[in-house]
Amino acid sequence: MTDHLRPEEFVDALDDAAPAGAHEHLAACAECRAQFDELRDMMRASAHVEVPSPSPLFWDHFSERVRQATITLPTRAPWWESVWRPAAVFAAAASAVALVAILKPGAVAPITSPDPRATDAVAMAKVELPDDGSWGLVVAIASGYEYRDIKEATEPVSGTADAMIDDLTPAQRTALARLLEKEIGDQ
Amino acid sequence: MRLGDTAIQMDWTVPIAKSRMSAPDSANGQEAEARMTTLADADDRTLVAAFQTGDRVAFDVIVVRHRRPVYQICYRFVNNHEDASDLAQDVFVRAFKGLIRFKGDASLATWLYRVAVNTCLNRVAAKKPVTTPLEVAAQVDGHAVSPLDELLRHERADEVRAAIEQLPPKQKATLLLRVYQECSHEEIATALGSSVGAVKANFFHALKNLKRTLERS
Repeated sequence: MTDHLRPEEFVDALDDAAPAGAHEHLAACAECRAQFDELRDMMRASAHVEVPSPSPLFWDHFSERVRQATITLPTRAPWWESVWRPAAVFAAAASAVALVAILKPGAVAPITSPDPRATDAVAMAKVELPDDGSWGLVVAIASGYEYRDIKEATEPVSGTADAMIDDLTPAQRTALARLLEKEIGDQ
Repeated sequence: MRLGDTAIQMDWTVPIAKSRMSAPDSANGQEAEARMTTLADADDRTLVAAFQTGDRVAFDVIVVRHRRPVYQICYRFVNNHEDASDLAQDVFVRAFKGLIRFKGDASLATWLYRVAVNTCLNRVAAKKPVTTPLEVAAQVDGHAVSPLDELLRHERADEVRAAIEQLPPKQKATLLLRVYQECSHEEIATALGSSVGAVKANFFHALKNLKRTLERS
């Protein structure tokens, strides 16, 4: 039999409060029964350890000692003790309200990642930076274009690289291959 | 038997008014004695309520009612009278300070046991426990004519006491409250601030460790 009683079940059995199944197991399992008997013996042995009774006069002296030790202590809690709990609750509630007010939609502009389609060149022009002349020129040029125009102008067109290689002479291609090999080899 | 019943029955044999005999002011002393007599039959809940409205005498009655089991818990932790009486006094001073916030979720006795156990655990953690000298233990019942089996029983009790002293603090507290104060596992869980399952496991291991220690000795 391997499914022995657990410690709590042994303790319940000592208290005669174990379920019927535990008692049946104890009756059938010699190992658990031996352990149970040991525990019961230890409990009985512990119960025989007595505390020596102090002198009868001790108790009156003891009460007097306690009275003297507590005579200067207040019997009521300090005033702030009755105040701090409601104050803490109020402060927590106020903090929660403030937090809700701050996080309420519309109270603060939401922080979102910029959409490249939304950030057109005109919007970029509204950024105020120290005007050193060159930036003004960039703004003046860019403000005349829409986002779509800039995208078309700057985005690489599929097949462009292939077309350029086709246009090269055999010597140029050999030179390009040598350059690429050198670059790749360096890395 | 329920928590603290023994203490109540035993300690009420001591006239309550005696503990107020050294009151500094005789008029106040008489007033306090009269108040103690009035409160003598009050239950713990009434005493706590009276104390919480500022009645110091109610605390005196609480001390008289619970001093014996509190002292016994302390004694079992330190195994000597001097330290036990100091610890018990400390327990009641702490109780005086904390009773104003006592809500009555547990019984007063359980709450006091919790204060007592915590006070003892703190002391034991800070100080090496004192072992009762054998001759002191022998003096306790020295007046009795001891037959051989009585002597053997006392010797065995000394061995068990020494073994209990070596238990880990939580196991020791659990054993003391269960065996000597006859607290239920639920009451011990409340007193020690742990679960009933943990209390049962601690009690089981306390008994196992006792057995192991006694086999070694």
